[in-house]
Amino acid sequence: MLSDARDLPGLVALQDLLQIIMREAELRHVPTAASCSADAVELVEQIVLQQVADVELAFSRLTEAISRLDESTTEDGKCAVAPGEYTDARSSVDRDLIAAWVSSCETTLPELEHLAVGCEDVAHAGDALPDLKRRIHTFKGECGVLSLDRAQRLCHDTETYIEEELECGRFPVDAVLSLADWLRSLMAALAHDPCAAEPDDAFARTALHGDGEPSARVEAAEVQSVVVNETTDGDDLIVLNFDAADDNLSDFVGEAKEHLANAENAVLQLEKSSADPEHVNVIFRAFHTIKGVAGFMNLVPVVRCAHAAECLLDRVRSGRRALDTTVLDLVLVSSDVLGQLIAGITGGPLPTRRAVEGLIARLEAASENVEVAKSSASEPTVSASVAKNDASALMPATEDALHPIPAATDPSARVTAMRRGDQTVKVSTMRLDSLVNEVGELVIAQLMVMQDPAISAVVDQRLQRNLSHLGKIVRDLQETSMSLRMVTLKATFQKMARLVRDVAHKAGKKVQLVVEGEDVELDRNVVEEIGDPLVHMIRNACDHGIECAADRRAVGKDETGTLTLRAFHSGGSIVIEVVDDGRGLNRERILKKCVERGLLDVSRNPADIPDAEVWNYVFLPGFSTAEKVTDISGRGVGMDVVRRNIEALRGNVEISSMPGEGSVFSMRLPLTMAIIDGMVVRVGTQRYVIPTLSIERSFRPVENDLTIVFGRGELVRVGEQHLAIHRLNRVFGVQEGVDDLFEGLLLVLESGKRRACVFVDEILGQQQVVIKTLGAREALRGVSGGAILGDGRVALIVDVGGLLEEAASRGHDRAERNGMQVHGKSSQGAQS
Amino acid sequence: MSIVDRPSSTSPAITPTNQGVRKQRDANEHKFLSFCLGTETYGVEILKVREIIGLLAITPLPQTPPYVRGVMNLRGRIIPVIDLRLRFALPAVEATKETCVIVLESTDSEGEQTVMGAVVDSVREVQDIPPSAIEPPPEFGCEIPLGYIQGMGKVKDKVILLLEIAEVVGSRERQQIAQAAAAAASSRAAA
Repeated sequence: MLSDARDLPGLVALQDLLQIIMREAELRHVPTAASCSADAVELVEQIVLQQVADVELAFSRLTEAISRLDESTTEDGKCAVAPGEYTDARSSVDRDLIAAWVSSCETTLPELEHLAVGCEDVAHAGDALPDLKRRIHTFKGECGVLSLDRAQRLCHDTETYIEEELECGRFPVDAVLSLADWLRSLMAALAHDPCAAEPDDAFARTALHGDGEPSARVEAAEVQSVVVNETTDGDDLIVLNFDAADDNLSDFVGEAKEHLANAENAVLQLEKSSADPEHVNVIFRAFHTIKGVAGFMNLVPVVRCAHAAECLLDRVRSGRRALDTTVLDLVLVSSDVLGQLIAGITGGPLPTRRAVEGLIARLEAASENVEVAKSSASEPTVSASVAKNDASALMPATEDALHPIPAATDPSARVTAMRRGDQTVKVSTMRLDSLVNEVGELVIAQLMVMQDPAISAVVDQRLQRNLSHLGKIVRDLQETSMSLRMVTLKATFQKMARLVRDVAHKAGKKVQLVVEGEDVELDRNVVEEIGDPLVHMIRNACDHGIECAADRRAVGKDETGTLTLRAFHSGGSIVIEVVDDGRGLNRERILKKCVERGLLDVSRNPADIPDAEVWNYVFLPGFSTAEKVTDISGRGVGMDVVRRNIEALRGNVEISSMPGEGSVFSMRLPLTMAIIDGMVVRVGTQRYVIPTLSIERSFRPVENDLTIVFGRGELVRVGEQHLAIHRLNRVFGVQEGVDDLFEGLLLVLESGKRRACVFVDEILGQQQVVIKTLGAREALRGVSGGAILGDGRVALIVDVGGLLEEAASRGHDRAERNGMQVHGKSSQGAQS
Repeated sequence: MSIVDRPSSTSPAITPTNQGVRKQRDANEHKFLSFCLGTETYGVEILKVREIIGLLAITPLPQTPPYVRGVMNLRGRIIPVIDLRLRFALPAVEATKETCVIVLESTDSEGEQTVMGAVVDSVREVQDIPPSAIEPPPEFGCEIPLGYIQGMGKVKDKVILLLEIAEVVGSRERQQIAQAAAAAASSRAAA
């Protein structure tokens, strides 16, 4: 069962389970079980703390203790003492704990899926397989801690199923993936409400066929009575017999929910302040009303639950029972169970019979036996503190969420991370963003002080030293604050692995995904935004790009298509490429479609249209060359989404494609959305910031290198290449600045495949600037934002890609309109 | 993140202030800030005026209509500045020491808040113009879009044109700019 002392999460989870068992055993007066579980808890603790000399021996003793525990309980399975009670345990489990787990699962689930896909080829799975098993096991343990018993059982059954399949040399990827899907739906429910009922697992279970459970499917035919399968006896779901056509039913559901909410509110009030009898009355009335109406509707389980709770409250009200935490907990649990039952009427998942019966038994016990209730009164608090201590077991996963690489893959790293549970702190993104903004302001303020004429006039060594020290601290602070927002692409890429597999299966193709550069870091905002575009591009590549196996064979390609997802730095940005080795874009078909839709100028010869322009048409909304719309793609929506999202991030998308060889979709994205390293340049009285990384070099032109092409403007020779010269003042329409090319500076700028020279008066210096929006709603071409410089004035930040495009198109227009004039003017400028 | 987020219900001390603010708001409902452009007097609702500042350094923006003067730094925030003279096709004049920028806040139909500056010749005063003294914008019987005129306020025989500031650089205007930009972009794409 357990053989790995390093499987710390598993151990901690086990310890927790045992503690819950111990508590339950004490509560139910099963002394043997209680002592056995106490022994086991101690043993596990020793193993966890590494206080045992002989781990093997400790494990055997532990196994023994657990088997004794097994015998002493009449229930089946080591952790099945009272699954029904787990619902109760859940309300005592710290909500934060659930929230922490949910957020950690956001990373661990994709990793699980990734591993599962990696394990598909059992022979080459290597370390992935044990890792995967460990992770499912960890999930199981964590679900146990959080009293998510259905999830725990599903994990368990999946584990068993994997073992069975592996013996036959197969790996059940689908089962693991459907487990992951189910867990994800659970996450969604829990994120919304920590006490939410676990979703129905019937669908997830269908993947586990062969696990011999007769009740593995929901009979959809049963409308009147909702019955859902469960594994063990007594775990079958409560059956509510109701007349779905009853108009009063929906009224009842709405009212009951309101009553329960009131009751819960009152309980919370009672917890906060001393016992106000009015609050007890509120709760009592709520349960009583529900009971009455439910009796009228013949909803027997609801009536029984409400009745039991009411009895308990009646005793409290009459002073025969002290109002302590047990009562309050029980009231909350009853409210949860009732809520679940009522939700079941409207189609929600129903609680198990065991949960309901267990609750009723406990309610009755609490109202009859004051002693029992009192002795157990302290228990929930103990367990709550235990749960809190064990929060550290879940916290490392939170760290994964921030830095998904190191902790997740290396078990020893996980262990150390767990030891010091305070290594990561969950911070709301709003606070993080405001910190980054404020640091940005600090940088500006610091620069303003540094560049203040009054300060620079002071000749004092100490002041200068202190100022430069301040400058250094501010820079460090800025770097740190920026790095807070950086995350790797790993999680995003892992999601895509799953997508590729699903889409390829659906399309009946063989596709292998190659991922490169998943460790590239990007601003969190950017990473969040590129998910959608990537999904669309990958779907397209799988569905349209890569051919089916037969077609590939026919053209002499490997049957398995390769899809490469690649991320790398280039210039001042990050490039993410989706490369497929499929058939490439079909130029003829795109052009035909363009003609059909009247997008092309009729006078133009289609053969003359450059490829780049043809490819651009696929980004148009509603543009699709697909003959039929499949459920994967073909509506012409995807690429429009891609372009919109990327442009919103100040990035761009480019396509290159070779018929028969495949296509490359590359997205160019800014590294961060907040701060850039910029070169401040001057044009007349205006200053502009050009991202340093886009500047290849700067130089003063020599006459010999300048060429004036008739109708095309000025060119300058840089190395072996002739580059167009764009005068910044003309592109931006500023009526000032140097006109003589020999008096100013030429900057060689590069963006994507474009390269050109931009003419400015001079370079003023390099500095980091905080990008601010200009407040204008419309994006301006060539300007990506504004920066406040040291003197408090605003300088525009040049968007090099946009600028070069704008300048090129202007040059084109101008050349077409009045090439002669331009030529005359610029030659004058060059000669004067 | 701001101090304003502090819950007010718990502290009884804040309640009277809130009422005070509300009272003040009601009192300000019909107040207008009047300013001059050339010989004409205009007004904007005082509730939309955030502050009045002197003319600071303005950085021009490329590819914008002439009446968009550019952007300026308002205590760390960059805001666009328009020149109302140029917007209303009055001849441009040199800035005097009376020239100033009215910082206006407006919320458009989509609920998006914008802050922008408007350069005016001079600021006059805050005037109370009750709704009864405001007449709807005139109809010239032509297609001139007058959406930016909120009404005509009559104060002591004089008529003040009350401006709807969200419409001055109105959504229609914005749409036109956006369309022009889109058209330019698509023509470029086609070129």
